Amino acid sequence: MRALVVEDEQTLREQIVSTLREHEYAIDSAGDGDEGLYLATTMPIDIAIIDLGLPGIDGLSLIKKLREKECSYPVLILTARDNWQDKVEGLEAGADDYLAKPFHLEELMARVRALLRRSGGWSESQLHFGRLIIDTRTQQVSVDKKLVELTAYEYRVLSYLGTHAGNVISKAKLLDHLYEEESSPDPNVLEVFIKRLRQKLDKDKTLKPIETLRGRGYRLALVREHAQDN
Amino acid sequence: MLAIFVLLTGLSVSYSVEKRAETALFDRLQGLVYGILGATEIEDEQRPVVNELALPDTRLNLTTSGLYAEVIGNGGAQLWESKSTSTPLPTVAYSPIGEWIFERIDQQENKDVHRMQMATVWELESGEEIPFIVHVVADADLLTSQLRRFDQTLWLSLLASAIGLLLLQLLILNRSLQPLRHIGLELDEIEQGSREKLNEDVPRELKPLANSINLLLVSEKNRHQQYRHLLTDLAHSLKTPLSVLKNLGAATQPDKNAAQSASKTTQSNKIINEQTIQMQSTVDRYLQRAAMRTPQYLSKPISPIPVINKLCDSLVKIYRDPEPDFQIQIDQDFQVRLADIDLYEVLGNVLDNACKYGASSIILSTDTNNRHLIIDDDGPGFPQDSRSMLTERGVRADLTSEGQGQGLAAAMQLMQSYGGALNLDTSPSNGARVILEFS
Repeated sequence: MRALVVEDEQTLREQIVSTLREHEYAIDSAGDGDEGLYLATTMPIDIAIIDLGLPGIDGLSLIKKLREKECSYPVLILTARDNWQDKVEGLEAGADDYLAKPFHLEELMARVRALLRRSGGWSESQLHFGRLIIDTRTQQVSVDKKLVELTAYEYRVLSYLGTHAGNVISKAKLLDHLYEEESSPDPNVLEVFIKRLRQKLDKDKTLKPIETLRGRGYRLALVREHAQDN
Repeated sequence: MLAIFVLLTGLSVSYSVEKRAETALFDRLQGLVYGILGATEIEDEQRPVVNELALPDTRLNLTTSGLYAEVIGNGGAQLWESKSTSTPLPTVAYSPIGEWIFERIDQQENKDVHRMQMATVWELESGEEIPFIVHVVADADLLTSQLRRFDQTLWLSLLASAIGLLLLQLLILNRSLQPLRHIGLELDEIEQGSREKLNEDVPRELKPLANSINLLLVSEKNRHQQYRHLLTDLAHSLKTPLSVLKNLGAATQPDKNAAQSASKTTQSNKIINEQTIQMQSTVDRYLQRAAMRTPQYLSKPISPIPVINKLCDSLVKIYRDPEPDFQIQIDQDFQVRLADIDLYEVLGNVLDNACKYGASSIILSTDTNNRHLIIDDDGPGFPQDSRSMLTERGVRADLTSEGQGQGLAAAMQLMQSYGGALNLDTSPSNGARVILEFS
């Protein structure tokens, strides 16, 4: 997943970026509204975290502008102005949720995960695909209720395909959403990750979780289910 | 003031007229004395005799005409008395030759009189002098009744003038105070919130007053908005560093290789966390207390429906599991007197509380007669034994959702600051019922 963080307070921005990276997010970050708008409209963002009080273009205007440019990814606003009138203004401008300062980073991560699940049409933190379960909160993956050890990159690929289950994701798009620009690997590396994922998730070759559509990309081929017990 | 003026004027005019009438009487009686002297001759060179046909006033010959005269000789003997005299005249007062005596004599048995007397001597050709006194008496009734009539006329006319003046003064006062009364009514309307500023179409003299009051209202409104903006800026500048501190305290990990150092770091983190929470709580409490003081006259009556619609749209966006279903049954004419921002705060906290605790159906209705706005939900409701505690700052019904449990308490404090109240009850579906009572 690729997240955009627009926050003018450098220390807080670094804290947020660092936490998101720890949770395997690719990050774009900006310290003012103008740079934020540029990144928001040019990068393949999955979620944006935007502070309302920004130098340059303020947070509300930034959200309005990116919605005008048909950027439909979820937006979480950070606001110190935690009165309801300001919250409503932010949500009316196009934000999907708000988080009042001061906040714990765990709370921020919970909101981010909830927004991403909601944007993918999921209401639970666990994504159920029959025998395969991806827990976006604990970042654990299990097949037939047995935990599967995945590397950070493998988890990134699987969770992205999982939250966009049923959709064909091109290699380029997958790389854009999973890696920051400076660390973007060769597309061939992605094929290696997919191969290893298939081996780890489908040892007996009966699950067939990831489908390759030649020339078009990859798709999580499993049928999506609602959680039985969460 | 007018009464004192009329009284002093009446007394002064009455006194002047009385003095003038007495002077006139003095002159008249003096003329009579001279007339009687003119009609007096010395008979046989021994005694003065008055020729009654030559008297200056015919009343002296008419009985009880009110005008009497006598001539008193040396030794007090009456030498002559007018035909008009029927009762004894007051005793003459002896005075030096040539001296006039004019006085009013109040008599107990007879009528009060004015008298004029003059002592004189008639010098005969032989050189002998015959002294005598001419004594003229006039009833005081005539003068008194004339003065009384004058006084009556005077006081009546003064009273009529005073009443006329008073009415005129009231009329002028009424006319001249009408614009001020109008301003007073408009100020009442401003206080009630049905008017924003004074009408400036007033008489020229009052224009500066109306302009100044309007300027004051605008500046007060601007000052209040500026005050709120400053508070939010203060909140922003404090809460962002607080976020950093809060996460710094939570994120710093102790050094695994040094137990002592780890213990110290853990202790430091704990202190940072405690202090951060305390600072946050202080900032929240004082900011809210300061922001709450919106003057009543700056809040005009508004319909809560637009605010409710916006809040419901926002909450539907935030809460998806379950997605709340809002039913708005608010009377279109229902209005409340709260500043926009405070109405958002009260309703936002109450509705957010309902959504946060899992209500899926939220009904907003009004009891217009009692000025109540009622919010019913189908959530778990308020615990019976802790309802009063829920509206105390920082107390929450349970810990199922994030937040600081300040929503209902803040809403209640806001309602109270506007003279209203917030009460908790049970909804028909056994969920929570919040009753907002507006003043």
